Amino acid sequence: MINWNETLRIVFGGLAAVFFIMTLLAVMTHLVGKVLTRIEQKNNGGK
Amino acid sequence: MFLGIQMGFPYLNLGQIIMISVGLGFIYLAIKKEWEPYELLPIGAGMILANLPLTGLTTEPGPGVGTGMAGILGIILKYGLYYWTILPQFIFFGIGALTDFGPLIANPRAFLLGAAAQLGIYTSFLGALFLGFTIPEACSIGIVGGADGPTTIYTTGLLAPDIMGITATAAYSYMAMVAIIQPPIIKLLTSKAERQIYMKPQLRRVSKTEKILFPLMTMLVVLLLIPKSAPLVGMLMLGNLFRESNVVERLSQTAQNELINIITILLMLGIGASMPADQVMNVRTLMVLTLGLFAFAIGTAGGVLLGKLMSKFSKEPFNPMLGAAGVSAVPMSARIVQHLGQRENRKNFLLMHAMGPNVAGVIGSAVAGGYFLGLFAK
Repeated sequence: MINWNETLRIVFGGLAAVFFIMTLLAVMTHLVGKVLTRIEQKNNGGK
Repeated sequence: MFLGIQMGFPYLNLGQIIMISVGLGFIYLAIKKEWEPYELLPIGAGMILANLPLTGLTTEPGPGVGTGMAGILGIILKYGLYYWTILPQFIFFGIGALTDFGPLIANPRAFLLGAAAQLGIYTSFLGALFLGFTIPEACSIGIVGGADGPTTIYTTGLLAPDIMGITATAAYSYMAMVAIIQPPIIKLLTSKAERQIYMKPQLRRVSKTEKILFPLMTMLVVLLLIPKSAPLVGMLMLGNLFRESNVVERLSQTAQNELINIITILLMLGIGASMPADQVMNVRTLMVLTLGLFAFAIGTAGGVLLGKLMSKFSKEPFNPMLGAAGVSAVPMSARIVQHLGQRENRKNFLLMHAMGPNVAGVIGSAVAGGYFLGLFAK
């Protein structure tokens, strides 16, 4: 007998966890890239 | 008895003969068709060795097994896979050292495609429950949909070791069959015009600092949120840090070559050896293989559908086929996207774009595996 509450909690919890973590990583990677590119441009401009 | 030697022939049963034939089939595919030879050849050999009667190769060390009585495959199985489960973790370490995350860092949107392609894991999980598998078994079967061998092996080793051989073989076999499984799904879900969408071949330049910060950041974020994924994501990122730091070149080279080669031999032989006929010759095996295929197909579809959505809302031209590369069959899925892209539009070079979701899929499936382990691993 499938416990639907438990099953749906696992499925939606899992999907939410994967999407949340991957979105967070995407945003952080984007921001780190932006900051470092700006610093690099500044340094190059200074020279 | 023959010349006073106990022979194996009289003890050979039909199940073992079938498994030996399957092993020979794997070796044939590896050598003749070059389908995942580094995996299928040792798996096939392990299958044959494990199904030959009286060899004692799969005797595991433990109480009642005398000194020197344990077989090499039994030792690999017990300590490498069931008890310590260190082999898939070391494979991830080697993969980290081999992987260039540059295409993903240059286009972080690819993370979302890597997430969408994990959809197959959860639909197949549901399917497995419907067919009467236990929750831990359903988790292990679902993970096949991530198309990630080491994650499948690690998760199944901890949750449902009895079906580890089959889930691992399914994962590697379907990875080998990417070229057969994915194109029809991609074509079914996309129009010709969508497949022809041209993308500039160059990605932005990624600095060395970004490449060094990436594994550290990923390690911290993922491990703080899902600690049980540490053995996979932690080792993957550790290997990548070795690669990108440029200060431990010898260690990085060892991880990329000798270490991963040695571990591959042990792991694949172990996987083959985990399939003795008496455990594998049943209807459940067929169900696992079917569900694994279903998971892989749904994962591909999930990636493509999100790709279509992103294509609609993207300012820059975005080819939705890239979503199919979100399954972590690296680099086969990316190559399929490149191949299909070229066939539809000769000017299109999608390989580097596709490598982003492809390596994101590796992280995504490890996160999904860690989620299941967090819920059910003892």
